[in-house]
Amino acid sequence: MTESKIHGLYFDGKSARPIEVVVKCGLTMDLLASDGRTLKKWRWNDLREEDAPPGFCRLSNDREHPLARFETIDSKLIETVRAAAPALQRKRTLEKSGRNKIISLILLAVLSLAGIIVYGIPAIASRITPLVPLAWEKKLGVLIEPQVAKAIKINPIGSYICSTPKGDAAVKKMLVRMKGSADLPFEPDIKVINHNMKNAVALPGGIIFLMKGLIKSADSPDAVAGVLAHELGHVNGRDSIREIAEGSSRSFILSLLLGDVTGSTVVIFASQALLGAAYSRDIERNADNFAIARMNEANVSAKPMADLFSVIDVRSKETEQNIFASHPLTRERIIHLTDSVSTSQNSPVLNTEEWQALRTMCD
Amino acid sequence: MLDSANEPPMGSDEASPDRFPERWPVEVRYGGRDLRRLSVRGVLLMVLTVGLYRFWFVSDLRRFFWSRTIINGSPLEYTGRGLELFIGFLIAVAILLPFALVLFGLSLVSQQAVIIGNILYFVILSFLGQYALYRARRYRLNRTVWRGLRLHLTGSAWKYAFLVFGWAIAGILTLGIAWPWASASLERFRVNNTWYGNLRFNSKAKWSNIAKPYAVIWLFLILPVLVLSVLGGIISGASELAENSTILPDNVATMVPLILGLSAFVPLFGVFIYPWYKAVVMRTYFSRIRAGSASLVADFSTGLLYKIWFKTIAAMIAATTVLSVAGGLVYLALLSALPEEIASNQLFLIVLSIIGYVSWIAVNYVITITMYNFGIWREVGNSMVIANPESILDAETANRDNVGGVNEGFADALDVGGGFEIGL
Repeated sequence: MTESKIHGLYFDGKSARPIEVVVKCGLTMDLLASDGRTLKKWRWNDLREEDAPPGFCRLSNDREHPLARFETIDSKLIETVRAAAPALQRKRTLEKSGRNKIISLILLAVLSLAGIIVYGIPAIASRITPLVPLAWEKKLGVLIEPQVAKAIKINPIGSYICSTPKGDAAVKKMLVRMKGSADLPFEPDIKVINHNMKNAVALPGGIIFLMKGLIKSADSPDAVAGVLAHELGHVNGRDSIREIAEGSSRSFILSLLLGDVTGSTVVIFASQALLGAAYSRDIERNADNFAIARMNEANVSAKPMADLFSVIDVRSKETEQNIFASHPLTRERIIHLTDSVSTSQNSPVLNTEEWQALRTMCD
Repeated sequence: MLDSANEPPMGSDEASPDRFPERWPVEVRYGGRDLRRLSVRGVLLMVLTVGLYRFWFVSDLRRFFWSRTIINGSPLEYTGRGLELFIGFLIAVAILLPFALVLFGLSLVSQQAVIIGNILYFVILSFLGQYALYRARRYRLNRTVWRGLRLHLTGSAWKYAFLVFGWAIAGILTLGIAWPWASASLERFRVNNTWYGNLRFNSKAKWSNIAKPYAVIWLFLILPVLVLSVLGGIISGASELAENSTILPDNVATMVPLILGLSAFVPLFGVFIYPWYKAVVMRTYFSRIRAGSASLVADFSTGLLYKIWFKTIAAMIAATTVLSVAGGLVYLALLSALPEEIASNQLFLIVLSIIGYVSWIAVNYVITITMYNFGIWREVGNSMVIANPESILDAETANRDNVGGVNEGFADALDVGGGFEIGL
């Protein structure tokens, strides 16, 4: 049953010139030239369907040039071909199952990578931190100090550090008392910073920022001394360098993986904050324990510090610029602090005059 | 949007042996529901795989765009696969990893090294980026088949990168005035190295073709930005001085209205005029593409592109509004439903905002693909006609092999966008 009507176009993969063909469907799919000559006898089993828009059918043949194509829009013919050829979709099915396998592998990889980022990197970082030469950390602290100053928006060139002879002496006295017998990797370098943030920060190499805002909102020198003891704990654990190592390795891994389209940079920052907050809890607990030991040794009560924390907690809900941004403070932690410091007798760290000198350092 | 289900099958193609039209039409059809489904699924999978599904997603999208583009009755065919892009990406990452590691190490050691390293990195990255973009183009063309012949791109990617670099320096030295020469020269480099089988394309693009629209852009967009950055430099310099002397110079204060005016004007102008410029350049360059006797004609109207542009923006604004309202409601509901200890937790807030942010990106991404990318592709494609196509009929295979996915892998690993280019 030959028809004179053209059924479609055949391309041999070697020339762009279309060959108009009539198709005869039987035991094979025969492509006939318009003069009736048989061009191709295609076995049904060799036919594969290639990409095409709806209402269109494009066939390739496994035994032909890989780019040889038969194209048709004859809906009756398309129906016949799809019914007769058994493996039209074979290529696509194979591809699809291969793809599904890889996607599942990727999902697994993502999970394991998440595990590495959450558990692996901190573990590695805490092994590596003790191996970092002290001189390096010292140098890093000097380099980072202006960056931190910039980050909390104080002019790094001008004098953001407050210093008066009496105030410095008071700071020194406080440090000597709180350090006690502790063997710190660095000689602490305490800087009183002219900033209203109610916070204290330990930088690499033993540098400690005590913000004016924190000192001003404390009711007694013992509160500041408690915070200082906690920061000394960070110096002792070399926590800041560990955090830097962790943070940069984490963002390094993530940025290798992600493309820009997913808005990766923001996700990286967010996940940094997320992981940072979760991870800080352990480190904070260690620093707390260090502080507790120091306060017990120095005979300093934890109550003023607990009071300071609860005052800051109430007052600074609106300002956000408080110690809790970097020191997640839970009720559990406060209770732990006040319970573990056994000192009942309160021998103040500074006398009234020294305390006044410390409070007015930045005025 | 066209709906594939209601669309009649392709225009009749009952060619008789001696009837080859002088002008071949290009049609782009069938967007709609299929494309929406494809993009939603792809974006969701991308979120789940932290973006790694992109190789398969972009391959699916290209297959879709290509197969819906019908030239003289034969649809284009995209033969690239996600797997080869993924492998290419891995290879490219492996090659680039040492550089990244060195920079990473530098960042740990010293601050000065970081600054120098970053500058160096930027220069190298922009250079390698152009190299990578050219190779990505090579991959896309190589995977484009029409009527049994593939396209391909010759020419050295290094040469192209040097050309771009040279033009960039010329552009900086001339404050952007050199751009029309640069643009036309790069267009000729790209097109003149493009082949369909053994038929070579060539571009008749000249600087004078785009000089006039570019003059408008330069005067109203580039010049104000230059003025703004110079003024900004003056002001920051002055304020640094002022910090030492506590006197704010009067002439700085008089600049403030000018700066405010310019900063308001530039983005507004950009939103309204830039599509026009893009359209004019695209139309000009497309219509100057030749291949043997054949010439491409593209006369899409700028108005239609504006319509797509503004419809996309409107859809994004609407989606953002809906999402923020819905997000707010969900947040309130969770706040009242969950115990206070969880609801006031910082982690909880961060997780919520990540979810919100990712869904916002995902929705906008779907909008961009279905409305903007395919919209432009359809308008531009449908306006195209190939005149005097005889040479195309005579084209024969150049027996080119498949080029590897690493060609595009570089562009993806370097994050220069080539990996996500859906179009040619």
